[in-house]
Amino acid sequence: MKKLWLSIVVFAFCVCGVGADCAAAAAEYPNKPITCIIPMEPGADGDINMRTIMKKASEFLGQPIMVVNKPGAGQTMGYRELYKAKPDGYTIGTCAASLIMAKMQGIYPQNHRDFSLVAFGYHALPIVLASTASKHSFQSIEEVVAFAKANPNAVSMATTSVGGAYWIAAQMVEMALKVDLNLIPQEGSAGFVVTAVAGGHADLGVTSFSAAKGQIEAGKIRFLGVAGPQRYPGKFNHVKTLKEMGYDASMSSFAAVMGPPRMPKEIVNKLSAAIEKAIKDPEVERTIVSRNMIPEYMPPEAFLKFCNEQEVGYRTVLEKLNMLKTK
Amino acid sequence: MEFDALFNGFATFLSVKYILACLIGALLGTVIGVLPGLGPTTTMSLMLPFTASLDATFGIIMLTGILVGSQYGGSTTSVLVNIPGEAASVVSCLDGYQMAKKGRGGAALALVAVGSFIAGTVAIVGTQVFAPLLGSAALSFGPPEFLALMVLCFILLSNLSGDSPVKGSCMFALGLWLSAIGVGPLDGVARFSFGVDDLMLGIEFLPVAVGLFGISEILITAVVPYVPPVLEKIRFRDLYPNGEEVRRSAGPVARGSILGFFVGLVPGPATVIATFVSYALEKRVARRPEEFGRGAVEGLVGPESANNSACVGSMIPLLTLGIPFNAPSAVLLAGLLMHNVEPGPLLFQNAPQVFWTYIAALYIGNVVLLFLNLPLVGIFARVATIRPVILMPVVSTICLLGVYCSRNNLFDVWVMVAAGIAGVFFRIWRYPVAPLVVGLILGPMAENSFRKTLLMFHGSLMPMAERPIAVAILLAAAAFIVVKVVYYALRRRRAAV
Repeated sequence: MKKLWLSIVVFAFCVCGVGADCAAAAAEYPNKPITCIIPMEPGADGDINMRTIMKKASEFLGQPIMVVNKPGAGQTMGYRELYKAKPDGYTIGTCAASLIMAKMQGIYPQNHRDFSLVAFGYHALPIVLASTASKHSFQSIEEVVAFAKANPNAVSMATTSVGGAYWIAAQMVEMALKVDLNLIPQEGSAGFVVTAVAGGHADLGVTSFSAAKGQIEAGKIRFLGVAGPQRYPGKFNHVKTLKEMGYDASMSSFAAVMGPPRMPKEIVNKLSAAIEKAIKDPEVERTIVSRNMIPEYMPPEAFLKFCNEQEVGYRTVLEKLNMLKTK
Repeated sequence: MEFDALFNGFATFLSVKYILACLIGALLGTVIGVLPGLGPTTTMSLMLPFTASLDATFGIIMLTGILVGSQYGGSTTSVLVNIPGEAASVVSCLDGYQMAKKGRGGAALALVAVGSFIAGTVAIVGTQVFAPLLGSAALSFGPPEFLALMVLCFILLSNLSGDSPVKGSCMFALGLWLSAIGVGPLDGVARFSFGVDDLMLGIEFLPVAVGLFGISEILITAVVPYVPPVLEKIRFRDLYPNGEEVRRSAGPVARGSILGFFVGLVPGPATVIATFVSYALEKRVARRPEEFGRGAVEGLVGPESANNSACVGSMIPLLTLGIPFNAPSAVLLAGLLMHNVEPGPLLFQNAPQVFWTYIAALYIGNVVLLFLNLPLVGIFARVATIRPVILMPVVSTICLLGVYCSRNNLFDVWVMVAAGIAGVFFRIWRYPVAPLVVGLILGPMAENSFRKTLLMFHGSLMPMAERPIAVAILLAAAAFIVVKVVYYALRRRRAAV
């Protein structure tokens, strides 16, 4: 009986896999299925978006891309796995801001310069939120600065766990505003931060826009500013970035595709081109935008430059906090 | 007016396509619920790209079917072979497996199916009527309230299983310690990892539970000589519960349904907490608490009902706040967003038809599942009569695969094997294993809420007194202790007289 169940499940998954049909067969590469390591749990933002991108890219490559989830230790378990893989283009992986940070934090010995960067996928910019249910219901960043300067450590700010992307963003915000806030890290996803702010358990919060949008629209929390390089397109385009307000806090929690070290240039280019087409596909774009992220394709060189720029900001934060483990 | 809307929701269903969607989802959910390691979260993420190319209603109905179906299937392996498929079915091992050993496996599964159906329906009615109201109430549940709830849980669970409270506490503490291994969730500091990469990941619940319950059972079966079961042929009558079992189940199902619904509103793994609290509660109110752990039907049916209504209840925060409180609802959120439906406080204004279709999907899914599961009882119950020589190797293969698949990590398989061997010794020395698993699951929740509360209040716990919900929960916990002490004192005095 158990075996029957198992075969039913295997069959069911085969049916899902067939969706990624083998269209046109390319030249030599790729001539067999590609494995893509996603270093997150199934269902995470980075997992769902990347699955969509990979499904489309596989149509252009003419080979199915099998997604394998290897979550754990702030994505570094997945990076480890990819680093060991053969650089033949048949094992690729996705990465997030942790790829740049983990080495500086002493969690993982490699960083973006040790992998073959393939293509940048999309931005998820951190935003600053204010609770309308807490004691201090801040209307603007200026109000926060004025109050927090007079009352150090009295204003609380919810962030994701220590060392995570939005925690770094929160530290950047605190430093840029030159105030002393009470940072409360949450154990889980960006949603936990929204719960804390919407419930009035924290005065401020730094998290992803996608998690907070519903509450912002309902007026339960206030959207004070974007702690990233650009404003959000669409309905909330009027909300300024912190940089525009004169505070130097800008980071991007992103998702991108990379391969093991020393992957041949032709393969990188072929993959990058397929992912570019996938990201620019209207259906994929709609999926990413519907999850409130900003799709942007970058070729390997631009992607490396972006990582190097981000690294400078992270280093400053970690250095100031005395948490920099490797130069 | 509301009934009009619900009626429209049902009307949507009156097409072959949507009923098919519901059937596929429910069937798939049941199957993955039966297999350990494959949870609703993984399956729903796998199905997401598939639903994207279909219309929104079809996708929502199918995803809902998977989620609800998995709650039905989860207990099957717990009852039949003592292997919890997910955290929410750990307590079903305690009494469910004992029932199966007595030849009441079929009855146990049938009662679970009916209990789950009733609880599911109660929770759906609750969702339909109270969703907008309760959604915002869920937000007032912050770290201090969660901490208070954890204190209550610890006190309720203090006599979860076994005869010796000291042994139980030791195992609970061991579970708490195991849960502390790995990178700390709040501060990112590695604890007890000894520089080993795999330990930095932490010890997962699933391999430990499968090892302690399932693998150790298999190892013991391998040692003990095979005695053919007394019941050579299962009569149809034996597959279904008798009058006494039904009578004893009524109370637990009712309590489990209501309790589960409210626990479902709490942020976090609500279904798991609901099963623990329900088991503890049933043990407290039972006329014959000594039967618990030896095949008490209340100890199986209560938690199984609670888990289903918590599953439905946990959708309220998702629909009304747009905030997913647990992993499966995060995937459901992704599915809704993919179809341009944005759950949240404005859902009722912007897309009421989605809410009502969802409610109708829940109602119909629940009925489909009942009729899907009741006939299966007969088939599943026969599993218990398969000779161990054939059954056990199949079961161990499924355990290995399931544990590996949950994180694609071979380390987890070793943890499972180690837990299995340790489990054999725990049984020989008569240490209960359930408290260890409970400690492992509740440990991080308790730690996180404690630390967040301290951070919120600048290192003091006193401001908790200003929060009415937290105070009420703590008072309930204190009341339990007082009642227990008074009860013992009275009994001792009576014994002395």
